[in-house]
Amino acid sequence: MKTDIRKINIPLIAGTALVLLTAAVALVSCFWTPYALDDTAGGLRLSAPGALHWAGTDKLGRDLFSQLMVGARYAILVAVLSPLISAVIGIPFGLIAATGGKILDESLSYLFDAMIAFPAILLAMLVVTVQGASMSSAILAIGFSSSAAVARVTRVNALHVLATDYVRAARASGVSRPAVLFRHVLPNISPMLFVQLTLVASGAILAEASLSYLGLGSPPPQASWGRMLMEAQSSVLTAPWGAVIPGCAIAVFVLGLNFLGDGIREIIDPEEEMNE
Amino acid sequence: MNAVSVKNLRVLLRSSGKPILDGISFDIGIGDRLALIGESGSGKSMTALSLLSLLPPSMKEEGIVHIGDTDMITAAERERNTVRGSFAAIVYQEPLTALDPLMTVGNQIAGPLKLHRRLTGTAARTEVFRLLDMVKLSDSSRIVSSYPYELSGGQRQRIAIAMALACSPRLLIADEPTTALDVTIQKDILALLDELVRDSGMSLLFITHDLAVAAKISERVAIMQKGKIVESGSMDDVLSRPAHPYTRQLLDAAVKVSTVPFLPPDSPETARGSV
Amino acid sequence: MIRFLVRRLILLLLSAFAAASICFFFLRILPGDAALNLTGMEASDEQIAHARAVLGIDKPLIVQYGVWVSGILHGDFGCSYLTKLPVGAEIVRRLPVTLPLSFFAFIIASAVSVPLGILAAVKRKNAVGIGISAVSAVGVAVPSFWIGIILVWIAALRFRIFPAGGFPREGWADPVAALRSLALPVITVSTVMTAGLIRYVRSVAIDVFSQDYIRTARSLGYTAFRARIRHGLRNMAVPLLTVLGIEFTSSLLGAVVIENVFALPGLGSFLLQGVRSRDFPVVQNVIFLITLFVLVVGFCIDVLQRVIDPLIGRREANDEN
Repeated sequence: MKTDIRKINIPLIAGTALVLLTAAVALVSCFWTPYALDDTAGGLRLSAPGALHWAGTDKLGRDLFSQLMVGARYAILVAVLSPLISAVIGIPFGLIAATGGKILDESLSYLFDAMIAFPAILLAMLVVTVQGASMSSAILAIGFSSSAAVARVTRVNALHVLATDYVRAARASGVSRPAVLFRHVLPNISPMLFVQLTLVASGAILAEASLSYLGLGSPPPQASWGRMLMEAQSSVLTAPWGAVIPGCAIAVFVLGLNFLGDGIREIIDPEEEMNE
Repeated sequence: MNAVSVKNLRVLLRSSGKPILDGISFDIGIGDRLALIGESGSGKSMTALSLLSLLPPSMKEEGIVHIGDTDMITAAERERNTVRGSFAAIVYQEPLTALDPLMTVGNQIAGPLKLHRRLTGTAARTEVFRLLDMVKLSDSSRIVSSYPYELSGGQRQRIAIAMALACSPRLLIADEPTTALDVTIQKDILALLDELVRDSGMSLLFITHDLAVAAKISERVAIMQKGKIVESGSMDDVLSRPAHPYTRQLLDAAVKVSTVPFLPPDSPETARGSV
Repeated sequence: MIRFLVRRLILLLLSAFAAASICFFFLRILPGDAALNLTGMEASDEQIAHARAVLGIDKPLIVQYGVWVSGILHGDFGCSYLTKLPVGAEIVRRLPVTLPLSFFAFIIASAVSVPLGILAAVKRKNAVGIGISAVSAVGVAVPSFWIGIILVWIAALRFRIFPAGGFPREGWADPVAALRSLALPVITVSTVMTAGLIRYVRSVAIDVFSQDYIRTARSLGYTAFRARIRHGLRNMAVPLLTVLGIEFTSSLLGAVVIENVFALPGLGSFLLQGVRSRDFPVVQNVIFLITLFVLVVGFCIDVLQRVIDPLIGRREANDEN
C-alpha cells in the first residue's frame, strides 16, 4: 500500500524535530560554546555573521552564536518549568472541580475564569516589581497564571471521562474515587492535557521573551533570547542580524512546540471532513 | 425513464483505494419502492449520499447513477443542484443535527421553495403552512416561528420531511428516518411516509437495518453486506425463501427478537405465520 | 434574562474586587520598604519615619487598602511614590496613545482574519489554504515586539517611510503626525493577532462547515458556497464573538509591550517605569485598570452571547432530555 502523504502526521514530526533541535543545542551549550559568553577579546563589535563568528557579534564584541546557544538553555528551562508549575497547580484543582460537587465546581470554575482574565504579563510584572527582574520571577508568574487554563481543560475532560458508562460502572462496582481518578481519568485526559501544556510552553517562551525584552527577565550574564533582542534593537540599522537571528530562534522553538501540540491533537481528534 | 437507475456503482476511498461500495446495481421505476437493508458498515447510507453525489471529497464515485434523466456522476455541478431537492430529496436519520439550530423551521422550509420554485413572501408562507399540514403538524403558526430545539424529535423529522417534499420530488430517499426516534413515534412517521409517498406517486428508496420496518413499507427489497448487494427481489420471496446465507442470518436475528412476547400485532412475522 | 444579568454583574464586581486585592496585597507581600527606596539605606530613623508618613505607608495595610479602594470610587488613584504626582491624571494623559493603538490594531486584525480564516478552511487541501495556515503558524510563533523591531529597521530606518518611534508632542492636535507615529505600532500589534485569529477562525469554520445542516442544505440543491453562507455564517457568529472579545483585550496588552519598541508615551511605558522603580501606586493602579477593562469586556461578551443566541442556556437544557 502506498503511503499517502496526507496521512503522515507532518505537524507531529516537524514539531518533534524542532523541539529536539532546540533541546540538543541547549544540551551542547552546557559543555561547549564557540566562545565564552563574556569574551570580548576580539574587539569586533557588531560584526556580520562569518567564519569567525557564525552569527556575528554584539555591540560589546561578544559572540552571538554562543549567546544563542546559551539562550536555548534558558528557553528549554522556561518551556519545561512553566508548564510543570501550571500542571502541578492546575491539574489537582481541575480534578477537585470535576469531582467535588456542584457548589465547589461552580466556585472553582468562576475562579478559573477570573484568573484566565488576569493577563500573564501583568501578573509577571507584579511579581517582578516585588522581586526584581529575574528569570525565576518570570517563570513562576507565567506558570502560575497558566494554571487556570490547565485547570479548566482538566476539569472539562475529567467530567467527560467521569460521565462515561465505563467509569460509572467502575464506581458502581465499588472502585474508590481516587482509584478511578488515577486509573481511568488521568490516563484518558493525558493526551489532551499534554496538548494544553505545549500551548502553555509556547506561550511561556513568548511571554518570557517579552519580559526579558522589557528588561524584566533574566539579567546578564544569563543570555535570554528576549534580552538579546533588547540589546540588538539600538543597532538594528547597522547590524540587523542581531535582531533577526534571535527572533528566528524563538520562532523555531515556538513553532516546534505548536506543531507538536497540533500533531498530538490530530491523533486524538482528527479534523473533520467538510461537506463539499 | 426510471426514478433511479444504478449500474455498477463503486465508491472508493481516494487515499487507499478501499471500496466502500463495490459494484451496486438496482433500478427503481417511477412510483415504485425499494427497501435497502443492511447492518452498520454495509454501505447503505453511503448509497444514499452517492445517489445525489454528496460524498465527501475523500471518496471517489465510479459507475453509472441515473436520477431521472441525469447521470449524476458525469453531470456538471449545476445540473446536479437542479436535481437535488427538486427531482430527488433525502430525509436523514438524525433530525436534530440535520436542521440549522439558529434558523426558524419556517425559514428552513421556505429555502427550497425559493431556490427551486422561486416562491417568496406570502406565496411562500402559504406553501409552508400547506406543507406543515401535509406532514400533519398542527399548531402551524407556532411551529413556523420555532427553532428546532423547541420541537420534539418526531416534530423535527416531520419538518425534515416537509423540507424534502417542498418541491414535490419524484424520488424520496429515506435514510433510516425512524431509527433515531422513540419507538412510539416511529410508527407514526412510518405511516406518514407511506401515506405521502402513496398519495403523490413518488418513488421511494427506504434504507434501514430493521427488517420489520422495511417489510411494512416496501414490496421490493435489496440486502446489502459489506458494500455489495447480496440478494434482491420481492419482499415476500426474499423473506420466505432467502437465497443468500447473510439474508438467512438477518432473518434469524429478527425472528429471535420477535419470539419475545412484545410482538406488535401487525408485524410481518405474525402476518406470515412464521411465529 | 434579568436574573442572569444581575448574577453576572455581581460576579463582575466580585472579580473586580478580587483583582484590586491581588494588585494591592501581592505587591506588599515581600519585605522591602518603599520608604527606604526613597531615602536610601543611610537615612536616620526619623527620616525614614517621615518618608513613611509622606507616602502614607505608616498606617496598617488594611487601612491603606481601604484608602486606595475608596479613592478609586471617587476617581482618586493615589500618587506616585516617585513623582508624587497623581496617578489618575497621568493615566488619562497617556490613554490617547494606547487606546487608539489597540483599537485600530483590533479592527484591522478582525477584518483581515475572518475572511482569510474562512478561506483557509474552505481551501485547506490546496496551496491557498495550506499557505495561509503556514504563514499564520509562523505568525503566532514570533514575538510581536520582534516584528516591531524588524519593521523599524525596514520601514523606518532603511526606507524612512514612517518614524522609528515617539509620538508628537501636540498629540492628536496634529492628527497626521499622530497617525504616522501609530502606523508601524498598529501593524505590529495586529500582525500577531491576525495570525492567531486566522487559526481560530479556520477551526471554527471547519467545525461549522462539517455539520449536518450544511449537508441538508446541499441535499436541497444549494451550492456549497450558498449553503455555507446561508447556514454557516450565523452559526459561526457566537464562537467568533467570544474570541474577538478576548482579542480585544489582547490588543490592549499587546499595545502595552509594543510601546517599548516604538518609544510611545502610553500606558505601557508608564507601567514599565513603575515596575522598574518599584513605584507601587503606579503599578497597582495601571494593572488594576487594565484587568478591570478585561473583566468588563468579558462581561459584555457574555451578555452579548446571551442576546444573540438565547438558545444557549435553553438549548443545553433541552439536549439533556
